[in-house]
Amino acid sequence: MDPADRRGSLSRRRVWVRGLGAVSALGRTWADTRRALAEGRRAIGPISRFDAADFPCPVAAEVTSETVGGERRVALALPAAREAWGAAQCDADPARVAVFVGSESGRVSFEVLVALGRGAGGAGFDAGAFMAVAAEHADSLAARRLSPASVASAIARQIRAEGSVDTLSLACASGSAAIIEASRAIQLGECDVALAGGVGADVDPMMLAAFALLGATSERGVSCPFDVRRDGFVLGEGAAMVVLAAERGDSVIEVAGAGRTLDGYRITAPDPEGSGARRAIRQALVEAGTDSVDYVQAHGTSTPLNDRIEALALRRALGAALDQALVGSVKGALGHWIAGAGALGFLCGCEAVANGLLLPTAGLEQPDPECDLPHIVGKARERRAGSALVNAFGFGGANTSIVLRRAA
Amino acid sequence: MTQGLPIVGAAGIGPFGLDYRGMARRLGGDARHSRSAPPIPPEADVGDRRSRRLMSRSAHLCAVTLHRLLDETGWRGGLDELGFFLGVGESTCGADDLFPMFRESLEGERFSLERFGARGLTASPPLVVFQLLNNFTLCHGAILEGIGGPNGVYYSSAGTVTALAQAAHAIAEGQCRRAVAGAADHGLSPICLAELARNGFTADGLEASEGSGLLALAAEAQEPIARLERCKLLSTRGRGLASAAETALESLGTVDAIVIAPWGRGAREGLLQATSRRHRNLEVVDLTSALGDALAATPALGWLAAIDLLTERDVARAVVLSAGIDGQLGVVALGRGAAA
Repeated sequence: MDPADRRGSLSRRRVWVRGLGAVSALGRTWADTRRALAEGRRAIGPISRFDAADFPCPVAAEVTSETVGGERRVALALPAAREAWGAAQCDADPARVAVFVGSESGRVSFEVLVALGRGAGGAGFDAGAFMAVAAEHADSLAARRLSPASVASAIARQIRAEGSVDTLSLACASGSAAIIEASRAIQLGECDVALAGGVGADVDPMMLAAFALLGATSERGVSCPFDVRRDGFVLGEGAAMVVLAAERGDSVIEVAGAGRTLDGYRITAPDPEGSGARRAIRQALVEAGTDSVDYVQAHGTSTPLNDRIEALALRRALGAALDQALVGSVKGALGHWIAGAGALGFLCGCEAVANGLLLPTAGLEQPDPECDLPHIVGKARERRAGSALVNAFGFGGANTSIVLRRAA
Repeated sequence: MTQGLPIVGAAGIGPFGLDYRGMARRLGGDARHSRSAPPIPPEADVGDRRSRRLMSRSAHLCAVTLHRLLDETGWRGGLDELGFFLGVGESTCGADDLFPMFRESLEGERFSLERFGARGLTASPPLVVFQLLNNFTLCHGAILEGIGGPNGVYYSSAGTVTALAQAAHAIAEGQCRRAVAGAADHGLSPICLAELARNGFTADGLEASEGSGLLALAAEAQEPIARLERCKLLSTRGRGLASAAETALESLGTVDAIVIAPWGRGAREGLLQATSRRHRNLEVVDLTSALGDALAATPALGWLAAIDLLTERDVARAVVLSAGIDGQLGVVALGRGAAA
């Protein structure tokens, strides 16, 4: 028996989407970002913060605003959280407000890592020399710069939340996992309002190098999910935040279902049958009590294998109902935000359900026959959407799916 | 959770050894242990040499612990529905993996980004990224064992308590019938030690260590080794840790033993203050004093110590209190199981 079929035994509260916020390479707010996305604009270009000319993938979707200094994750997340919180207009007891953020560790600056590398010595590791160098770079190693939890803590301070403050680190599924946890907390009455989302700030030499080593980034420097020419992802950065609440207010969107699974397959590749992804999608659909959706915001990274497998999983999970939906992936325009990716996808799903704005897959020009999906190519479509599915699949095989529904 | 959720197995690795049984006895008095887990013997190890090469230290400890837990519970089928919820710390790759990349990028004394892009990249293992992403502490073990159910990876010690709570929720909601919950962390990496020293924690008495502790939870069981009666993460904001811990203990009613798992001196003082006021006659096991601080893994090692008390001594109910610098108090109450 599929565990999804056993679900729903507890009496739960409904979860409403009250406010959205984002900082991206296409805009300082979600309103600006969605407008640009709807026009089919793309933010991917040569990396400007450091000389990446000799890297296998020298492009990214960078946030270049001068206000983004110091600790990048917090600097990206706070304005997005402020926008979402302001839009939500929730009046809640601070003790009943919780924060859930998907984030990976902050990165030690590249210069510091290099200095530490020198300090580590020659052939063998010299701990004494290392510690001496580390002391010189003390501020760069501070917890507030490195800890994944520093983002959630900063947001909690900003909105004066006194409920639980949780940080989830599930690679590319971190942001959507945070939204799922926030939804559960509201459903189960652990909090009344939750600010949730994710942030990605991996456009730095170390992560660019690490993903290039994996062969995961595009050597062509093009993000074109589901396109026959795709050859890897392009890094992006930004933050996407959402306010969820038990009180409906004037919201028309509810979080109707969610699924979380693991591939349990291989460290370097997804399950070729897409079993883990399919099960996550099915769980979310079953929990939402539906077999179909009108819009799919796909994970769609632009890597050859992942896109093909996601297409397969969508087909197997939705069957013929998939042909009645439209599919988009925001990564063609804004690159891959890693820990923030799922939260950005969630905002795109909300846009479809709330405003009938179905965002496209930028960069997709020649759909791969092996990714046989009803794509949105070019500009956004305007069409009433009663429901949306949002996928986020992480390195290591963590899969999340969320179903959003328009309420009467 | 009036009866308590059955705990059908437990496993751990830490400075106490490769088996948590007898741990509470060994932690008594002024016992001090090494801060490192013992070497893992080949017969207890997991994966092959290549797969272990891809693991951070935390991931390795977790994978070995997971394998032992699944052996103990006999859970070898239907793992694609098994839930897995884990508290983790900052995953770091070994210095040996990372630093060659930088050394190869030097042009004389000057760092060259060009050299880094062209040569430095090839000096480290290509999969080093899998040590840098925090969720791989969970993923390596899950992949080796074929676990496919609902899951979550939560950051640091408060997150470890959240992991246990989420595992219990996942079972209560019917997302899965069985789940593994716990934590693994390694506080002995050079960067972590440097950070602890810089922040003054080392000078203040904090001694980092490492470990991994996992519990196996089931919707129902004939002979559980213990029962999870309560799992809560409480904010101490506005009332202080000692007061919050006192209130939590009071709300629990009868308690036979308390394990405290404080992060740092302030948390230790607060928890000891709470336990000494109302529970003077109880034995209080101070986990981090004896084992050092295994960071995110510390609460989970505390649960193992509590289960050991339940199974080896005349203890019917044990409480684990964990606290750190994040202002949150973890409260986990465990009751004796039928197998005790």
